[in-house]
Amino acid sequence: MCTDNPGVWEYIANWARKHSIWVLAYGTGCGAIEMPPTMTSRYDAERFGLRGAATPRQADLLIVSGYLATKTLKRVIRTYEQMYDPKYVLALGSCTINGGMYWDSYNTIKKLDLYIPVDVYVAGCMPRPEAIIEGIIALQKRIEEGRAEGAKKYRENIEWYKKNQREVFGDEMLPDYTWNFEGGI
Amino acid sequence: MSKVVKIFHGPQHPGITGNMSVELDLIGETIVKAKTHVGYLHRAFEKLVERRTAMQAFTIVCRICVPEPDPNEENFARAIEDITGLEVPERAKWIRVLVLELSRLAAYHLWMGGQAGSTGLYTVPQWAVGYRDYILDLFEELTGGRVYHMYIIPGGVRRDLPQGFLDRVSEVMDLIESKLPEFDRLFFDNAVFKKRAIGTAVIDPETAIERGVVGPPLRACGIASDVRRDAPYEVYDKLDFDVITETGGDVYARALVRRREMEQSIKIIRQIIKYIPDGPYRTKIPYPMNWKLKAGETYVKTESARGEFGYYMVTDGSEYIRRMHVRGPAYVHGISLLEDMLEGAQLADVAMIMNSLGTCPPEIER
Amino acid sequence: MSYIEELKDRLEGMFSPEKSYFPRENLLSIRVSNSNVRGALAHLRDVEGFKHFVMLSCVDWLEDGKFELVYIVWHPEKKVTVMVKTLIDRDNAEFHSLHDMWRQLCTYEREIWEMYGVNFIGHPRLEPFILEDWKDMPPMRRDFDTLHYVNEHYEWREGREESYQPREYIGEVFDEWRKK
Repeated sequence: MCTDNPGVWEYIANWARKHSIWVLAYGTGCGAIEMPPTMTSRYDAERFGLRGAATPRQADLLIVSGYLATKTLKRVIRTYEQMYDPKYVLALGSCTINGGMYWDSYNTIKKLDLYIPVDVYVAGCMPRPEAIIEGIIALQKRIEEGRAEGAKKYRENIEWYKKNQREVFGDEMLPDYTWNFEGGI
Repeated sequence: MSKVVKIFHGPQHPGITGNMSVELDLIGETIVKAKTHVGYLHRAFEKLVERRTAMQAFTIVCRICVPEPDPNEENFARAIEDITGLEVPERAKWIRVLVLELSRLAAYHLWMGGQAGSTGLYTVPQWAVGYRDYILDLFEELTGGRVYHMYIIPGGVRRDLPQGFLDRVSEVMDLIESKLPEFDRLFFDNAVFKKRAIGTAVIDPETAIERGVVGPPLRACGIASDVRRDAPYEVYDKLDFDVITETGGDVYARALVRRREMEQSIKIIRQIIKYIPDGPYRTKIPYPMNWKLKAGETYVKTESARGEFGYYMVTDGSEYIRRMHVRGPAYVHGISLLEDMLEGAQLADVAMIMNSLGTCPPEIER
Repeated sequence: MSYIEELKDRLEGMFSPEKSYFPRENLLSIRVSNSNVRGALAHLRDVEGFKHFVMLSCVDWLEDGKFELVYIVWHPEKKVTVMVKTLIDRDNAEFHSLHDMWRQLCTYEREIWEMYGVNFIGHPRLEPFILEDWKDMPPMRRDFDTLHYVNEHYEWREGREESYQPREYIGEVFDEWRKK
């Protein structure tokens, strides 16, 4: 919860939140090939409370599965800004950590942390479904302790994030009606 | 007087592995004009391969096509062997065909999940993706990775088969063959699927040849064309299998072609288990870190689950590859043919038509 | 003589290519001048029966200052592939569009326009296809250095700098261990 003095109510709310995380159904890279086995009958992720959500307004968790081309990065940032608080991001694969195997490609980004705040990283190329489930359990632990504060971090350091985004996009920056501050960004 | 509404059928589609958006003009629920936008997954493979030697490049080539990575490795290895004149031992060829056919079965199961999910039958993906996992377990035992194998290299294969592997393959084949009648009852004889699929998105044979259609959509129009018969590679000229055709050219005919080809794949794998010879599994490459490729060019092709996959490769005598151009079947089906098929269709059928033509965006924009 | 050898003699008589040879069996490669490309492809399609168009590719020969366009066609009955090639100038790269012969050439020519900068005269829709808001030179040309572009526009993660030169790092660790 995004307050500074957590009490009993936040404890109960975090317990409820960690047991029903809704995932936005958006497969962004080549890591999306291990999402169907995680969600279907063999490595059933629904026993942890996960299920798919259709729109960003109904989702809690955004899974960035793999590399991001600059064209997709624009759409992902806009989707992230449309989700409601509290929201979490799980970064899958080595491409989000340091570029992965496309490290010298002119079209993919190298470090996801500069553009949106990330809560949990899962390394691998591709991570197994059991590794993805271990990442989700780590995220649940962070929610219970009250440390999954990605949304608050984005709001407080918004100028730094927007400066990094502007370096990638140049003049064709995102429109600011999903994130409107007085004075503009 | 009805007006035209423009919507974006956005990057995420149910049932398709990848991101591609279609801009539609609608009157009511009927589509008047369609325009495709690609480029969400561009990684610049052809530029990356120019900076790597041949032995460094085979590790990244398999990620070009996400649901079915093995035809890419096979094409790359065969192109390098054509240009440099490397000889592949006999056992390695049989093992390569085994890996290709298992990968084809896994891709057909994933296709089944996607086609049913986009039509609205949500039980089939749960079953199909679950049974695909048995095949991925076999791959993990053989190569070490579930999805991206990096197993077929220029000169042969990387390792020999483990002990008792062929018995486990035979058990998995029995299991998959016993489940095919259940898929028939649930999906292929389903009255809802038949009513939606028969008569939708018809292609006639002359248009198919003119527009360059390949693979199951071409065989569903009645033309028997298969790369494994037309330009046989590895040991396909010694194996006994049929080329499946159907008449009709609509979504239902394409689904039936893929369903009957699954039985042919199981037949091929059983022949391989029976007749595979012994021998070495790899030819050593002299000085692999400093291998100067002979100058030349070639065009090789393979039959993947979606159609004909072609590689055009040019080398110029140094250790780096000069140009490697990848042409997948979705490049032809997914852009101009899709825009013509969508005119006059209903909005609810867009995902079904995209899946039946075999649109896979990672290989359109590499 | 097999069909493909007779075909090579016929084409040599009609279009006088600069270079023609067999890279492999069932594959013929001929290089003609710019004005003969449409005639050769029309002859192959209508008279000989090569109805199926496979692909159009482009190779950059920076040392000679030329681009090479490669058209590949396939005969469905005789199972033979022919590659028709031509050289165009690199600095002022343009060529006439052949999209009225086969519709799928629209897509191939659009991609070569974007990635190499070759202007196709008469093409109905030359707009960006894969890249969005790209301001630099066409990226598949050989003088575009992709690592230089990455170092200018993106940022690496700090720490672990020794893993960028694995051979030296592993050598140092091994020498220290061996001294013990």
